[in-house]
Amino acid sequence: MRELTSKIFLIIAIIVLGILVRFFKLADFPVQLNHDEVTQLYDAISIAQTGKDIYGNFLPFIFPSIGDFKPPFYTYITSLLYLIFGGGDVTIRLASSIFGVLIIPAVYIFTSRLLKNSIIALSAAFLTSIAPFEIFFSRKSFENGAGIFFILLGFTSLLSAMQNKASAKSLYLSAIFFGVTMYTYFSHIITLPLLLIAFTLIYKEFFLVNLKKTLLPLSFFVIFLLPLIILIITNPNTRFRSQTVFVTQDVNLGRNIDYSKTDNQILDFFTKNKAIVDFSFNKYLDQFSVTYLFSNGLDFTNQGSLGVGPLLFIQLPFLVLGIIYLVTLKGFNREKKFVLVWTILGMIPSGLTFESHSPHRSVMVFTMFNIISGAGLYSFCKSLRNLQGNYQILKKLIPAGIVIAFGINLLYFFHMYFVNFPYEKSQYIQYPFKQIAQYVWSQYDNFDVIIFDPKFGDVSPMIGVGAHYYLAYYGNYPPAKFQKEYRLGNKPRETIFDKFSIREVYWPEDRSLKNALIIVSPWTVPLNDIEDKSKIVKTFYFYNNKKAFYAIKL
Amino acid sequence: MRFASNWLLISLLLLSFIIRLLPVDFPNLTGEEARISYRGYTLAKYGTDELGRRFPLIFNGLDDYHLPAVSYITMIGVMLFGKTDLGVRIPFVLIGTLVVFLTFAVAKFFDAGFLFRIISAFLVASSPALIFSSKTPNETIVLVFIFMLLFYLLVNSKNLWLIILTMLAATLTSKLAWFILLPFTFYIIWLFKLRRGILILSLGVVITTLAVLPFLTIPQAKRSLLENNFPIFSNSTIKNGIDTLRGQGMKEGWPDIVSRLLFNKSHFLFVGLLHWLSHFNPTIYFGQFDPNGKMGYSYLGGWVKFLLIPFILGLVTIFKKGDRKLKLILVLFLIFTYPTFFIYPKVSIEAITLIFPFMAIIIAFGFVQIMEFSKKAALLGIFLIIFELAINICNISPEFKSTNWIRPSWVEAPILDIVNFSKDNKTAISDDIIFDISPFIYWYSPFDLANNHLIDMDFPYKLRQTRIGKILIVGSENNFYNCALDEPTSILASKRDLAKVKKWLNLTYEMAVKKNIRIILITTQHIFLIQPYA
Repeated sequence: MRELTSKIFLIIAIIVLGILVRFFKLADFPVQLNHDEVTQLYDAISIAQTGKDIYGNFLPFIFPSIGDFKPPFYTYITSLLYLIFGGGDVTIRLASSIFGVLIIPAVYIFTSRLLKNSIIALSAAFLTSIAPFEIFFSRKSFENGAGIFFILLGFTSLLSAMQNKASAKSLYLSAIFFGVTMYTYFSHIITLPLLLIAFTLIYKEFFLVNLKKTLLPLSFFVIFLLPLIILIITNPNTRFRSQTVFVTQDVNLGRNIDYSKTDNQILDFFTKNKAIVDFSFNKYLDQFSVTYLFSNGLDFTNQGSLGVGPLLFIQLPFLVLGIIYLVTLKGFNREKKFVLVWTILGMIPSGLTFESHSPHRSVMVFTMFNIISGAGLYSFCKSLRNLQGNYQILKKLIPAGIVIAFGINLLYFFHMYFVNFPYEKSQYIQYPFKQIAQYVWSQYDNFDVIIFDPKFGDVSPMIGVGAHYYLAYYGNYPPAKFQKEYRLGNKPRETIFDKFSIREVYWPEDRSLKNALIIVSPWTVPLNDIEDKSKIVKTFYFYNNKKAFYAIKL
Repeated sequence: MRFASNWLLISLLLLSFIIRLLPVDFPNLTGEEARISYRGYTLAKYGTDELGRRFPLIFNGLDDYHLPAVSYITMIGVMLFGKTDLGVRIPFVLIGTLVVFLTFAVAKFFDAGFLFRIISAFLVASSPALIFSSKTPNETIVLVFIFMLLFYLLVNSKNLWLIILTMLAATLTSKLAWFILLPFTFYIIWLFKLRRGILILSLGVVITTLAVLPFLTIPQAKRSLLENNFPIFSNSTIKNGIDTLRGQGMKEGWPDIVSRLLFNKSHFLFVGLLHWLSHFNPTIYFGQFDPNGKMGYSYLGGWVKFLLIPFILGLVTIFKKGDRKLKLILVLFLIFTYPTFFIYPKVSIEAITLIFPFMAIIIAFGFVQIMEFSKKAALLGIFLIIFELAINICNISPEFKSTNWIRPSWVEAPILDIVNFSKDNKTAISDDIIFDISPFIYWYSPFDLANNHLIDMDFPYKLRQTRIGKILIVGSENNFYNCALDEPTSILASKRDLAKVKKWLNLTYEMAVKKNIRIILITTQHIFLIQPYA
């Protein structure tokens, strides 16, 4: 009883810790909504107010975004939160943070079910509560967090069903959880079915014996998925996303294919596909790079190896110990196979996309790494407890050292997250688009036309996306009106609504406009090209105080 | 049975030799390999190195000093087969083949079964990384051979003199050996509880000291060590990164003590540690060993892809069932690679390659597991190994294209042009036509070029030659000028220098192309302009 109480106390303490690190200054950090967040938030408001997305689609299953399509779950749940809590930047991050907290008990329950060891489960939950990737992704709108939560619940229910004579309740629950998962994040459409097939094969005896009991929940799962399946078949847009991010878009692969070209068509077909297989395999294996996992995988800084990985550096020895522990653990053969399959399949989405690393697609595996590290922490503590003889002092010193190391590592992460990340990477969340949006609305009545050229950059120029969303959202522009007003213009990159034109500025021509406010960066209009400097009425800065944009009054 | 086993082993060795030897001119040499090749030739013919020094013990390279073993091994090949591809490569092909045999011999210390031993040897024979490094004059394959031999001699408690000679050979092959030799010897002595351990270790200390101390007397030795073996300490990006990140914290009002606690010189330790561990990235072993194609096939890992499965199985088997020796052999991975801690940010392919024969033993354990599970699966595995190896070795065209810069196959013809032309004329060649041009000029020259580049210093560091015979090597810092009537000069120009010449002569590239001839004579300027190759 006392042991149970202390476990409950510990899991509550871990959850509280998780809440603290996820909700502390949530509205302020990250320092601005990125384009994904602002598009989803404005769409969510649009749905809540009008039942349609900003393009006028009624309760869509898939949300068109900027060069992208979003799965529905996150936007709808944010609509719900908007109706409950109202607007505000933090609204879009709430769902993610809530699921980020819920995942802690989910990991605990799942690990308890899988490995039947509550101390490993507690360790895994603890690591989940403080893992950099968990905190980072929980503090921004991120669909995959919810997805992982439901996957964990789904498999917990399945394991529970297996341990409780194929309980129908558990089987149906797992079908529901898996069904919801498929609507949360696109990559799960590939990984979850594969994982379920692998799970079925690993535990085939259970499924064969309980075939009748499992068929109905399986049918229920398929019915749940029918709208999604129909959508994938009938709407090519759903496939667009996977095509645009697939590994074949990688320029390095393109070069390799060029090198392998021959005059013989059959040989050419073979060598081309060989180049794709080789390249994909390398990319896949590279997802397991130690530097990426523990040093700079979250891409917080421009300082090479000085950064933050998805996992804490101090976790590295425990991950290794965890692997050794699981390998040498007697029994649990199927569970161990499942852990291995989860890790192998979970890395596929990240390994097969064109970006060198995409941690947001690998969260599933990082979650498993937390569980394995939890096993490592447990095995280490067990070995420490078994120390005998003259090493008694070590029993106190080593745990104290580990606690201090975890503390320093966590503090290092917070410094990186709250200080260095915004300093070094504010451009990549389109800072200072919010300030620009707020400023232009304050000047709304003074001009006939407001032009915004989102080409900008701290070190090199890039085109900021979703500027119209920032303008509409921060101007509290009614989505119903936006749905009617929003259109594409004739000029390069032009989108228009109300008196706003988001487009490329061509200064020799645009300088002669009258009663216009132009927001432009020095990349488009160098300071020297502006003859009358008094026309610059406002300067906007990146988070590191470098100049980002001017507001020019004409 | 014994007869069949012997024949199987002999066949494997023969096959290893053939795969390593053919095609004899593949891969093309790198600049450094061409330098060693030419050095082997001059040592064999004149008893001097390429700079005219008589049988030296330290040679000069573009990046660092070269220790003597590889150059003298190359010399032997040239003495036997002349200044040819075969001559400079065959000693390394033989050494690579001997590594296969040594793996067979060493594997018996872990499992005496013939099957296990022959699989280990087969894996080494088919390792793309070991095949590749056996095809050119380089330190790596020699070092792999020496450490395998040392392992065998130590564990077998063979002749002490042979052990001493092997240790000496290691210290004369690569600076990397200076760091690895003692921990390696100590570890093997400890692991196998060998007799005469203290004596052997003491001899190791003496031999290493004897190798290192004379090196340290060279004026640029410390710089060489710092830049090539301990570059982490001179890496300004880490120091700047620490200062930048700490400064940002201070600007944001974080307490100074916290910033100093989080961002300090201990980062060198963490960066070094992670860099060391990054040498265990699975991509290197099973995906892409060396993307540059310098030390391995550009499109192959150190092992073919399929072997990832038996490797994981082997590790699992060792952890579950293996004895102490087998488990502790994994520590060798750390011993071979620990010098990479200091070699940030470069990936040390050489250190990684040392692991391979021992890794083969682990993979062989996994392979035996597969065989026990299903013979068909094992046969399929062997087919996959041979298939992947064959399609990469037989189709080397992509390899030529992707290593065009570092292993240029096309450079021989233009170099022959310019060298022949230089017999009667002053000639120049851009230094960025390929990476490190001068050794290629020496190597491809059909006759011995007059070496007027003898230097004052005994041991010049990072020597970059700017003149070979009548050939001037033009760098980015050089400018063109009108020659006097009696000094016509021709240039094999890269794009960079052609642009300079065009600007200076007011000659358009289109004009040059229209002529469609290799040599354009511009008599008024007394300039021969050869069309660019790069």
